[in-house]
Amino acid sequence: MWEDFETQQFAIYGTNLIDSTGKDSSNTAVNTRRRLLRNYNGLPNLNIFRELAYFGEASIGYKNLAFLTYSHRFEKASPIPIKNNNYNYPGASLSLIMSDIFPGIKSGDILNYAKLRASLAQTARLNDPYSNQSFFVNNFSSTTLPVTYTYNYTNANPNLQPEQQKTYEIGTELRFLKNAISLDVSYYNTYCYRQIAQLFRASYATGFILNTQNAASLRNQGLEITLNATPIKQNEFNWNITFNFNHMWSKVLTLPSSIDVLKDFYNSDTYISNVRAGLVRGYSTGTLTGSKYQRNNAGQILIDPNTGVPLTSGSGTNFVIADRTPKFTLGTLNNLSYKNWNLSFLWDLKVGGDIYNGTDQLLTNLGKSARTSNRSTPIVVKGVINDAYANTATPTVNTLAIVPKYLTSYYTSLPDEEYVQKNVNWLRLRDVTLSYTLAQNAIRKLKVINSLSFFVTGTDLVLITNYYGVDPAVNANNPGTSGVGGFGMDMGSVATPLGLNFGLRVRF
Amino acid sequence: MRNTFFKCIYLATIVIVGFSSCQKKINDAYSSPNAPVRVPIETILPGVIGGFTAFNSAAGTNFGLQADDILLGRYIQYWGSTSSFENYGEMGGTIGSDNTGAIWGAVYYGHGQNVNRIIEWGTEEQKWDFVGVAYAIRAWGWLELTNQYGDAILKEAFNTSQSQFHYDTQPDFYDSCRVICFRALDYLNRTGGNVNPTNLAASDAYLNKGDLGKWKKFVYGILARSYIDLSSKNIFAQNHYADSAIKYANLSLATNDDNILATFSAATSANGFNSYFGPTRQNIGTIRQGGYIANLLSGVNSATFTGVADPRAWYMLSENANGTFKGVMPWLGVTEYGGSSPTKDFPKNFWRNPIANATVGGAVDSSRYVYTNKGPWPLMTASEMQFIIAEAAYKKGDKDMALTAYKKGISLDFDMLNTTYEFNIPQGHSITPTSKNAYLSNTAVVPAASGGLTLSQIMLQKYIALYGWGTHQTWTDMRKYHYIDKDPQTGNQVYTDFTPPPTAPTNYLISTNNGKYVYRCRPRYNSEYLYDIPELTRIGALNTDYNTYECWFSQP
Repeated sequence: MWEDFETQQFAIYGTNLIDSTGKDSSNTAVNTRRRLLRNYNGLPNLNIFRELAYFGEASIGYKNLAFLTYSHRFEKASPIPIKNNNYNYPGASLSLIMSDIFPGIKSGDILNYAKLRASLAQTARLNDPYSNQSFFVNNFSSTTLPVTYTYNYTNANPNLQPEQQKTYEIGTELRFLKNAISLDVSYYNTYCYRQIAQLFRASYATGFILNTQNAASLRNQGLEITLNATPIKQNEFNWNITFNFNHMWSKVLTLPSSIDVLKDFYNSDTYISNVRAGLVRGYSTGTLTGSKYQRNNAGQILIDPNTGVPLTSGSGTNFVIADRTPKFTLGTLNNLSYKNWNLSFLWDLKVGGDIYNGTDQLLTNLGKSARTSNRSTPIVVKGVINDAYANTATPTVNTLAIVPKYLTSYYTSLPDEEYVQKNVNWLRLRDVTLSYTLAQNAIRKLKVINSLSFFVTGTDLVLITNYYGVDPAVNANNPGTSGVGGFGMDMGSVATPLGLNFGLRVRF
Repeated sequence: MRNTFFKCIYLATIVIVGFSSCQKKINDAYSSPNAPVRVPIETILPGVIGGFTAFNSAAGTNFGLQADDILLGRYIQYWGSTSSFENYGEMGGTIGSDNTGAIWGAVYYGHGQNVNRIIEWGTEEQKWDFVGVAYAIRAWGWLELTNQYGDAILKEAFNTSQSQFHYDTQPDFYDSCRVICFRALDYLNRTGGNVNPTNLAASDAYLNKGDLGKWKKFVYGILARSYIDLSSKNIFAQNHYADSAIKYANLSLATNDDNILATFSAATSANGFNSYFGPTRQNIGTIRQGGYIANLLSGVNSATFTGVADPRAWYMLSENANGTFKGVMPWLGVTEYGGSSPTKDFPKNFWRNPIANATVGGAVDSSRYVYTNKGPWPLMTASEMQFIIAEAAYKKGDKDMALTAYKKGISLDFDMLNTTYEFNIPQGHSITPTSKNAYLSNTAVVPAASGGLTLSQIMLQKYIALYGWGTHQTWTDMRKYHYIDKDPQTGNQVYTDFTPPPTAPTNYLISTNNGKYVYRCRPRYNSEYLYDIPELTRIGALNTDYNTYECWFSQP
């Protein structure tokens, strides 16, 4: 495989808009315009990515009982320093048809088929082109020279290697009762190491600001179970049901050493006000970090003795305040057919996983959230006074009443953790489809048509959830973002629209 | 058979050639095609020079003296914010932002590897003049850095494969600074190779215009500073540092033509071409001159220069609607001047907008002194060197030498204003030989005999001569005397009448200081407070009163 991508970019910076309604760069004062790097000479700035990959695979089968496959992939890619840019990785899988190796287990017609499988796979991932280079950019200090330079932000790392991901998976596939029930179970364990922490900040003492190193690792594990059953199988009526269970857990193992033990590594793309998808060593990869209450050793909230307002870690602090990873998800797909009618529906259950409700935080700051409706009533925040007794067996219980209407800082300074809802569950009817297929003899006369069916589909018709916001299926970012992504972060997310589709399906 | 064999060879050749050309294309795509990884060192130096005051590149801006000066100037009461209870006016330190981190950014990043490359490539290319200049800049950086932050990264600095760094102590910085000064002098004295005065003059157009003599004097000036900054230490007398300070100050800037002046083209309104303190950049609209300097220049300091109206006020300060000079207490802001409804005593801003509480320049630019778009912004002056000599000589008991230098220092400062800053001075207020002589012959300023000279006079004349541009140095001077130390010979405060933020009846000294004054800045937040925590913990920089930890240079 040969890949060669090139992106061209022209950009211009200018100030002193001539006309407040004009939107393009010609509206800026000529002497304020800047064009960077090659744009300065009228050429595009380029982003080039090239990769060459080839791979080989060998499979051995023994009497249709056992299969062994080995593959090896060789790659060479341009973003990696030349001394490390040739790399390769293996993959192997083995499957054994146990029910044929030991035919005895099929006796009694309970277990019809059993297969065991195991695989080991490795892949490599790359950094972005030029993210690892110290090059010169334009400097704009006073000068008599036509163009001057100083270094860009990035520290070059001549030892950068591709990051590695190793996965092993074991699984089994079992079919029972004349294939009326089938069960597929698999467990996977992925170890990502030498992960490229791209453009992370460290001390300026390197002489640069951003660094790219193989400096992180994490482990991701999961269990997937699929159970398919056909409880009813008659001539005119059939019912098939499929359960899809998924449980996943992960752990951040290492991060760049410039990040302190309890500090987070984050990607600024998923960053709402102060809350971000920060990664902290020893925690799951789904954590969110933000500000929290100050608490005494017993975990009680500390209250400012002068104001009665709780003390917080303050904006700009980021502690783990949420884990967005669900405990498990379970999809249930039912398929019922009666004569020419077919009804299928998918229930989607998610249990666990926290959500940060940034919408509520914004509305609270504006005094428009329902939680601020008690602003005229005196409230006493549950907690203990931050005094000399705070960490003794008998802390001073807070009795200071505040009226938020006159002390707006109570609501405007609530810590981010206040907006995290723990363990958000949902059960939603993802979709329902009812279809009717015309009988063969009814369409035979049309000759050109082989089959004809009508259907109606409803999506997201039912949602049952304990989430106090609009809809728990939130995402503060788009799927293209790097890292874990913006799921579980609510910032003006609107509810999933209810959809109805009517259709006609024709096969010629 | 033969045919098949050749076909195979042929195919294999195509495959191999194809492969190797792919390999080459991949290797070629490693380096960014947009930007050079090596440029002529002549094109690096102008940006580095811009980094003395306010660095300005496509990858980062404002590292340098000026952004920090706006805040540090409140500690020494050169100026204050118009707001009351303002953090720096209350001697507070920076928490959670990059404020007061501009020198950190300049030394490690703005100058940083750029200076290293000038040295490395300049040595390869035998451009000894550029190498010498680069070493001079590095020496200046280490001294400024340690005087502002105390402990910082020295031995491990610029190691590109580390992401956490050990902090070294201040004496190491002083030693390193001096060693690098001597190395700079070696290179600045070196001829031959590819030394090219024309090229250096072009790159150095906005500082010393390629004048190697001035660069050498600058280096001697850094050496002189490195000794006088220790004048409160016991080792100052033990090691005869006064002699060193005098020796190097004498080798340094001697006339106003020698002054090291950073200038700006002001060719367009772009930030890099204009001084950070100028009206175009609008960075000093919400500060006003301090009451302490205004009183000192108006002759109302109770113990020093009392009753003498200093002609320099019309250059350095802004008059108010009454035509007098008043200033703010940095912790009070403009509350004494009516706040939002200004009284006639409300000081105009530094660009002298006729509307007293304006935060921008006036319709007609009437900016004076170092507050214009073009500067010039002194990094060091001949006058400063004389005050170094005066203080050193005074300390070692040579009062005659001290008095001579003291007089020369004042005279040089008057002359500099007269020549470099003779613009937008109202009619009748320009310095004339008569007004200068009157000032110098006033015994309240210059005592008739050397026995009458006081440390207060020397330090306060230096305080005035460095007004505006010398904030970093003046802060070092005042910390040496712990803001309110007394001169044992007179029993007066060295900085007479100087009052740090009072604690009663209202507490204006920021509470987290625990009653102590400010003695250092925290290392830059976005460099160290996020990414160097273990080391900050070790040196105590996470403590809320770290900004009050006294530096080595001012401890006995």
